Amino acid sequence: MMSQLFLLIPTGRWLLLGLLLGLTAASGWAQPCPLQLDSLSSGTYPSDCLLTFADSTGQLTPRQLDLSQFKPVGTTQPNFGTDGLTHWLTFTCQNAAKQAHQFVLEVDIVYADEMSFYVLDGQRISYQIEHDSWHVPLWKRSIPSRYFAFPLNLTPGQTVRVLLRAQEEGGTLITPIHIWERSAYELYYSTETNILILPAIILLFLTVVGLGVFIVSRNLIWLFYAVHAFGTAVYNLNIEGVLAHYLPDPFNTIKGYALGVSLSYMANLLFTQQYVYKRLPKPIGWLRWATYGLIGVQATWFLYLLVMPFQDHTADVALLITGITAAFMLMYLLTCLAKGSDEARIYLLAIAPFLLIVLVRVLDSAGILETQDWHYYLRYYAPLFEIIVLGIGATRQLIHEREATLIQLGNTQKEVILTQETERRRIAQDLHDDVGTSLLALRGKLPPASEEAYELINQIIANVRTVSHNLMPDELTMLGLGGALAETAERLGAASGIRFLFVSAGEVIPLPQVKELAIYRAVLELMHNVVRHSGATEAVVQLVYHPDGLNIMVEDNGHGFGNHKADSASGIGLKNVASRTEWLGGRMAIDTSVRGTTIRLDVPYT
Amino acid sequence: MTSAASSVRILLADDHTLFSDGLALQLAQADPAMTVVGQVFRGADVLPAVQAHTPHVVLLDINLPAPTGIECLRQLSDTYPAVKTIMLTMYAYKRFVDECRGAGAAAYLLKHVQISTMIDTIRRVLIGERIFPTSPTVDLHAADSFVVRFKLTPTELKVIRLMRQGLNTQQIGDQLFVSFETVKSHRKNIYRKLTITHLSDLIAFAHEHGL
Repeated sequence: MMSQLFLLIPTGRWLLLGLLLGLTAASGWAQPCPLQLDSLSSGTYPSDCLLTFADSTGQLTPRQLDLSQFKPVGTTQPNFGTDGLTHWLTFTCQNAAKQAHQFVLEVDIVYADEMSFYVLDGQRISYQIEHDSWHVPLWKRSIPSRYFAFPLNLTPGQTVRVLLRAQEEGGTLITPIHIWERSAYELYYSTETNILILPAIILLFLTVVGLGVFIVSRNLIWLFYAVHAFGTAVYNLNIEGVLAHYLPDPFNTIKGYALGVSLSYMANLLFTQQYVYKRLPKPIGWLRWATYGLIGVQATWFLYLLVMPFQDHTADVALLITGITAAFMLMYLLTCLAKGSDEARIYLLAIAPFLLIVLVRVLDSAGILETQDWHYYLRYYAPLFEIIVLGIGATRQLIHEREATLIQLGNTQKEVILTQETERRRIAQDLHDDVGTSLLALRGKLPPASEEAYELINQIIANVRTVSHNLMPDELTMLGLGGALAETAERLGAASGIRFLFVSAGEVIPLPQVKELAIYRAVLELMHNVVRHSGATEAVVQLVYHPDGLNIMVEDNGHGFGNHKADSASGIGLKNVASRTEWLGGRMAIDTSVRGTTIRLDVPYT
Repeated sequence: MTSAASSVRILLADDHTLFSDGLALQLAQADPAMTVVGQVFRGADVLPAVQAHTPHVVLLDINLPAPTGIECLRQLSDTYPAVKTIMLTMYAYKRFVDECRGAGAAAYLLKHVQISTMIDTIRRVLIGERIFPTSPTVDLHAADSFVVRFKLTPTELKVIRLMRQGLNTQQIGDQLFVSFETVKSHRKNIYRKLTITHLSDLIAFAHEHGL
């Protein structure tokens, strides 16, 4: 994000930054013209020879030029502003080497409307490329480069005049000129491309991931994250000419550098609101409104860029808005950090490489440190690093939130069940003891001869008992888990003819009543399954209290589930058992064969 | 002692007043020979009331507040063995039935039975019968000494035998048609029941008991 303050600068030139920091890019020393070209591996050369001339007619040919009208510019990065005129540049150079050399004249810019290149050997035009622009496909260029690059092949000792014609109507015309040995240029160009492509691909990948997570989680933070990554990727690809050269009309002409920055800033501010602001222990009103204000400014600017053509002030305003937003972000984060925000700490870590770039630039301008190549390449990797770290931070937050929600959900569920069971027990108790007994009393008061009334009241008494028992098995409260199961085993055994053995071993550890109820209901279900579906003659139900948990086993010697377990009633019953066991935080396992079925439940005490 | 024809003195002990009143009324209506000589509502009042009213029969609720009906029953059996105590309750648990039988109750009745049944029961206990809804627990597994003495189930005994034969967990699982984990569970339960921690202890146990 902040790093885009730098990234607004035309690629690798640091020009606007130079202006911003009050630096001058020019550093020349007197050297006689023509330029002595020898071993040029770094692309730099002294500026003294470069002359320019503005052609207000726009019609002049190289032969019609009057060299006396050319003026020295004193820099290798002439900035002609937005006058829309045709500008000529010229210098003379000599191959100082003893053998023929291939050089490359590179104008490191993507967006000029067009350029033409002429090499004059004496009065003869020995080489020319006319109307070169990004409309010319890369494979049709003499040097397949996204930047303007022209071959300059010189024989030993040959002296030539180079003429360059440049035109830009919709923006600022800057012509940063470098001269390379051809092999050095090719190495530079491929290195530049590789170093650019990797972060751009990763950013696009993160965009897709962010969108995916957004679709799955419905959490807006991921949409903002994706747009942030996308905006940065668009910016990177645009400033290096990838969009212009590879995208179809009209996408190749978008002002991706400015739109991308603005878009990623908007998304980033929104992201920050979600990521940092939402987690602040106490909201900071002004910060919130200032953020929305800035988002409004960025949005307006974005629409303006989209609709309006490039104007004189566009770059300045872009720089101003970017600078303000970046400074605001830093202040925002520091404010939140002061409030103890963990997210702000992670965020600051994320922009650490960017801050490093700033530091290097400051040290460089103060003459303490010299800018290295990796400082320069860091401009792609700083935002990438930022976006990756923020992605990790947001993922971490998402996971934490999920966990918290689950824990809370679990607690709420437990509370609900607890309340429900307590209430049920109370109602059951009231029904059984009060209503039931009162009904018995009422029956006592009936006149002796009312047979029908007796029958009816007996029916009511029986119903009340059933309802009360369903609500809360009174044997559990009266006898405890083991006692109630023993009772049930006895009863079911007598009723079904199955030899039920109930065993309780180990030192009994009483569980909270809701848990005992859940276990009781689960085991009851299993026992009923044995009776209804197993065809067994013998069954064992046992509780073994271990120090680390309760083991429950229900074994029978029946015919097993066979292959119709999923859709049978016992299947539904087992699902109930499984969900109860899960609620208890326990595990359930089923072994079934033609020799019988063993169901194990392992339930923790806490 | 009284004869069947003459008046039967009855003491009601139930904390539910309404029920107690209703029962008193019903008994008197159904059989004029039934005389409710007193009604108490707390466990603590039972013994003094028996002393005061000399009933033939006490209809005693299990669910009495302190002391409970079963505790009252024990006191009655000790102090007034001639007084017939009929437990009257909402709960049909076998455990309670067995406990009351053991504590010397004459009968165990559920509160929702018909009044005629109740009168019939009163008459029968007076001539010395003991009436309970279920027969005494005949432990179907009583013959199995391992269940009684060690709480070991038949499957666990099989596991011990197979372990003694030197089979590993997986082999035991295959023999018993259960999973590896289930065998482990059985083994853990066996160790817990026998309070042992080592295989050598288990082998010693198996050897000692001829498994």
